[in-house]
Amino acid sequence: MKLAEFKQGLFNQKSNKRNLFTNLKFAEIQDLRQIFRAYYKHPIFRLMVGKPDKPSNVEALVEVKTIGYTKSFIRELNWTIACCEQYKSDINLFLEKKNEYESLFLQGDFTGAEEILNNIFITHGVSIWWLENTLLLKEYKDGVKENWSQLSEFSKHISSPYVLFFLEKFSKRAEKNISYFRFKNLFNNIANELGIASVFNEYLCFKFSYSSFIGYTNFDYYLWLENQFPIIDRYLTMVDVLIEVNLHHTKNDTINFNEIINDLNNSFNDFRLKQLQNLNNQYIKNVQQKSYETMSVFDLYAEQNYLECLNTIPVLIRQDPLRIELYEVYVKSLIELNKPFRSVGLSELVDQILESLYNVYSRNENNEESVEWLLKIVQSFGSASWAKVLLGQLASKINLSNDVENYIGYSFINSEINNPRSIGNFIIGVDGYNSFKYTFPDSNSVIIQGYSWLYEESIPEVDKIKFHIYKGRRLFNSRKYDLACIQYEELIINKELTIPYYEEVVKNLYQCYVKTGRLIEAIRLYTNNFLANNYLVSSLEADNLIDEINRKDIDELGEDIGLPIFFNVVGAESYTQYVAYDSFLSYLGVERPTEIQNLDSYDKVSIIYFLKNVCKSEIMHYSLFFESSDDIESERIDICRILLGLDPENETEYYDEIAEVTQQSSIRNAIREVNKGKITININKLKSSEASNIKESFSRFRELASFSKNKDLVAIDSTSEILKNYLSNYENENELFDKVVFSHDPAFITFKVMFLEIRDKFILSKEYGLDGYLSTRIRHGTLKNHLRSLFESLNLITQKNAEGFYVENLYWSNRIQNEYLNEILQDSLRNFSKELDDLADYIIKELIQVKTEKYLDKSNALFDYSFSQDQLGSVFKHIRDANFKDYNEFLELITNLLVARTEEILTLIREILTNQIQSKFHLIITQLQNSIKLEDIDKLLPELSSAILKSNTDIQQELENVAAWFNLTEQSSNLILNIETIIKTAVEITNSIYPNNKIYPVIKDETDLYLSGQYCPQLIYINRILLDNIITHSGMGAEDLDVVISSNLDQTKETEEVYTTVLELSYTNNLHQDTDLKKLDEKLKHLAIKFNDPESKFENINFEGGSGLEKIKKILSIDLNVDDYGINFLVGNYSVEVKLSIRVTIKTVNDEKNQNSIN
Amino acid sequence: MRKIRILLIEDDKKKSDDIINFINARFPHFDVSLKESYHSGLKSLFKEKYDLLLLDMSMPTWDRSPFENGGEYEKFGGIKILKELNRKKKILPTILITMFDNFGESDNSITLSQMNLVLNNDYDSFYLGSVFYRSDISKWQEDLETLISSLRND
Repeated sequence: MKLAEFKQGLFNQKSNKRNLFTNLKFAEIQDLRQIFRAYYKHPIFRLMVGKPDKPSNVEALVEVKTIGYTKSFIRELNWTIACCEQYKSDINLFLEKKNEYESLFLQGDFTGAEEILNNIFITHGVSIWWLENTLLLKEYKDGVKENWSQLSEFSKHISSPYVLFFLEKFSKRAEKNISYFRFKNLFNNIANELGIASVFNEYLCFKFSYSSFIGYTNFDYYLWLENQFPIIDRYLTMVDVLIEVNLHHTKNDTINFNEIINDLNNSFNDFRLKQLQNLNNQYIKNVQQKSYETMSVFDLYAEQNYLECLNTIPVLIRQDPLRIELYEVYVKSLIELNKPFRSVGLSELVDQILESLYNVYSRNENNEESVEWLLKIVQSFGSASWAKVLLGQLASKINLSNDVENYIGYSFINSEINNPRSIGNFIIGVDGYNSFKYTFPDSNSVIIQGYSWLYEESIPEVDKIKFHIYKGRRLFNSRKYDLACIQYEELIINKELTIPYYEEVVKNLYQCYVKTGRLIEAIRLYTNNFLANNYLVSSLEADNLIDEINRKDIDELGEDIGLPIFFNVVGAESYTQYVAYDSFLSYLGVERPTEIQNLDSYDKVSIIYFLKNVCKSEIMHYSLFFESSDDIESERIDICRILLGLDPENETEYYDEIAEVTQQSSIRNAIREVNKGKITININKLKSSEASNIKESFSRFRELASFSKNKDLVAIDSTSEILKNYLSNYENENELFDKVVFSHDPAFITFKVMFLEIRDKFILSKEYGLDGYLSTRIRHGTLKNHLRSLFESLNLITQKNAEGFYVENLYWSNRIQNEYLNEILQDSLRNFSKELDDLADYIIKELIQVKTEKYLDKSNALFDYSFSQDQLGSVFKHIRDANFKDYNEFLELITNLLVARTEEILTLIREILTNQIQSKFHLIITQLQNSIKLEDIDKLLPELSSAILKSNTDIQQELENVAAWFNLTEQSSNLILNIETIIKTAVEITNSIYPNNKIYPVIKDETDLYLSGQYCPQLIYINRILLDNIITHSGMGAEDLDVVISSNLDQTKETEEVYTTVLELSYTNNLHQDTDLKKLDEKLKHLAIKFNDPESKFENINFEGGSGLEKIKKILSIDLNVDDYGINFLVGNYSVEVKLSIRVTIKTVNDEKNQNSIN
Repeated sequence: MRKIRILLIEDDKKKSDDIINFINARFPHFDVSLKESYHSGLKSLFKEKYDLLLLDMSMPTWDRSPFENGGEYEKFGGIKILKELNRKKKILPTILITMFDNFGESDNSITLSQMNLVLNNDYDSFYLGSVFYRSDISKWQEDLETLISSLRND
């Protein structure tokens, strides 16, 4: 578009002005300049652009009316250039003030810096830069509260959420107490939560956390977005973008960058543009005035006149603290002279930067925190050029990314000096070198660089070590890596090398080894230095070595212990670490680490590191030389024992690990024990309690049986249900005849009454009946929760709200980001939740129930203990014919019969669970999978599809596990556990049931008790019930739930070998603020009275829901046979404590651990 | 005629039943052995002699039992098995048979066909291809038959 065309469009009332301006962005730069010169301040032009370039207050800061996005870098750049050129004088003035402001800030003259900021505000208006720096200055001058107050003050006047978002981030970024990594994470989380487009996220990184992102590319987008910002911000971003484009060589060949940069240099007096011009021209076209003085200091350093450096640099820094390059020379001079750090006395900020650099260059113990602090400074002062120079220095010391070279280039361009280090890397070629030499004719620093980059044949006289260092650089730069290896191998053993030079030697030698394929040497160099001082490898690039290793057969490198150590140090994934571990063990010809012979023959630090950090379960579990998880744990314990001998200084660590692994193993065993069979019938209790009843009936039965065998006596069968059945079934008269004969035989009737009474006790006794165990161990939440937990852990199901509706599945709705598809998905997931819950309820409420011929409430019940008249008659006949004389024989036969029936039922249940029920789950899961495929949700969320498929496989296994519960178990147990392990086992089972609401109680076991026999599983059951109560009734979410569990023992009688005392278990948890404490207190008092009443029976033992206290009472009084126990509740300030007291008999065991036991 | 020995490494019972039933019906002279974990699968591969491996992608580390919970669930256990075979130079024609047509997570996912390309590239000497299994659609049977037939033709 030409000027005339634009003019015509502008003044033609019928023309579409928006189209006119959008087309204008496609104009060539020269035309744009003409049009801008003529009309930039024209009211229609201003109206269309829609924002003030120099807003006078924060309210006017952003009025979004961005002109069309061209998606063309050169179009957006031209537009920005044309806009900025309208304000070149303003911008040049601003650049001067900015420099002055940054200098005063570093000097600690915050008042002076504030005055400049005020002046910038008056002259240039509000800008994002000004807001950012106002907040930063408040933080440093007046503290974080003033930073927050200022943010609040700004927020009152700013309506744009976009600007508010920026401000809030700038305020946080300025906060001294928010670390580099925390800000980075906060920033990443926000980006994830907002679900912002990746290109916008990239832009935000560019603005807020430059080093958080690699591969900036969408510069046209950044420039377009900033169209809405004041002119100062647009200019600063434009230069940042140009630097980035130049560094990353993403320039479009059709764009003449030289011309653009040259033009810009004609308009703006900006040292960064001058450096860009030097870079584009590949020689020093612009000499930065500050370079001469700085170069003389570089020369002092090159001439090893370190003392003079220490005298000169503080003076220069005090004069002009923006020359960050001097900071490095200063700290390196201190290190060369082996001096501790000393401040330059300018400001706290400058001294802290210097001291941190000193820590990093000397790789002392403060290295890590210094690196983090420096990164924080670079992040907070993101808009200051000196911080960008500092980033380049730091990047080369910490291998910030694979893009280190670009960070270094970034620091050269953002610097106010012509750095001779840019020779070779950025100013390439003899012309570039000669321009340096011409500009700084007497500089030894330049000649040394020239020597290193092969432009000079010799260097001025320096000491021997330095000469070899420079020679090494020369060989390295000339890619004579074999020769460089020889040079560096000689150097590395020189004890006089200071840390910075030693690090350089290690770095270059390492690269030489990699480039010449000497991989074992590279690995050794890496790991030996890591083990000596892990900071020494901070600047080594591990990826190149890994690539080279991958190209070879790793087994060929297995001879060195460094191989597995290397992969562990670089944080390779477990399998890759295993391959290295396996290669090393294969080379040694052993299968397990504990088989390694002659441990003394290895470097001690290396073998300790290998055993301690590499030979861990998560790596060893890939080895085929182990048979199970238990086998791996046992190996790990043996490794810890070896480490106790090798590394006694850290024995506590190894003892702790042994204890932890052992406890984990015990917990797993306990869980297995609890899960291996949940069906118990206390036959002994049944026999003993029924004996007296049966005794009398049995002798009457014997008399009647003997008499009725030969006499045709008739009696009334009172079991009406059976009678009813008989009467309704007349088809088979012979059968009926038999039945009637038996049914009217008084002996038979007596037998039947006895049999059915025992049968009913067997299944329904409140104290020891089967249904009580089914209720406590299976139906009381356990089965349903187990099944649910599997789907919950995969985030496939949700729970119902108070109104009975399934709540939204936020896990997936946060990921799908499409309202329409989310609605469909949520419907599918709700149906899925409902169908699964219905199926689980059906299993529990209908199938895992008991029924008899009298008790028919649950017609589908699988525990079917109905006995037909035939079956009863057959038993009766057997007993009568066998002529039992003792009622005990009779009882034995009946209970055996009932146990046999139970075994049949359990076989059937296992079969049903693993077949029919499994098919029902499979059908429900397939329906869900199909429903998400209908709208291609599976393609949008492949992880959802994976979760659904995984649930299908997992449910098969889970049903196998659940089926295993349906086995009869003995009333005894082989477990021997301490109280802490018992509690932890219950916590682990609970957490597996509530995978998304895990709790982490504080456990204080103050007893030395080891428990055995039934105490272990039964106390696990009790803890499970109490933990369930805490989760269900506290009203707290898992993340806010604080639980403390403690155990105490009255040990006043401990001196006796066997003594009775009280074990006290206490469970304390916080409560939701909405809890009615008074009501709760009353309710708990009532429960306590009932629990503590010895006369109270277990009326509701076979029913689920409620507090489960009756089940605890039954466990204590019946299963554990405890005759003295009690419970107490203490309701406090939104907390409740449950105290359970159990009288126990302790047996003192005089072994080495002096443990006591209950059994 | 010598029986063709196949090892199926698969922990999903329904899927393994379907595959075994299909092979038994379609290739009666094939003998299919089943292993259900990374460990038992690899051990069997190194101990026994097979003609073909049918490999699932995700599996537990150990065979599950009342005494073993299966250990870590290896999402890419199939690839680790391929790597181990390659590393130990155990060349065995292999078909990946999976229920997943997409692996990984939204922004970082890889489709089955992309995965197939990667595996073809990395293990071209013994990797035959992949089959997408669905319990409700029988197309996987045709695909599996085609791949098995290609092996037999070779």
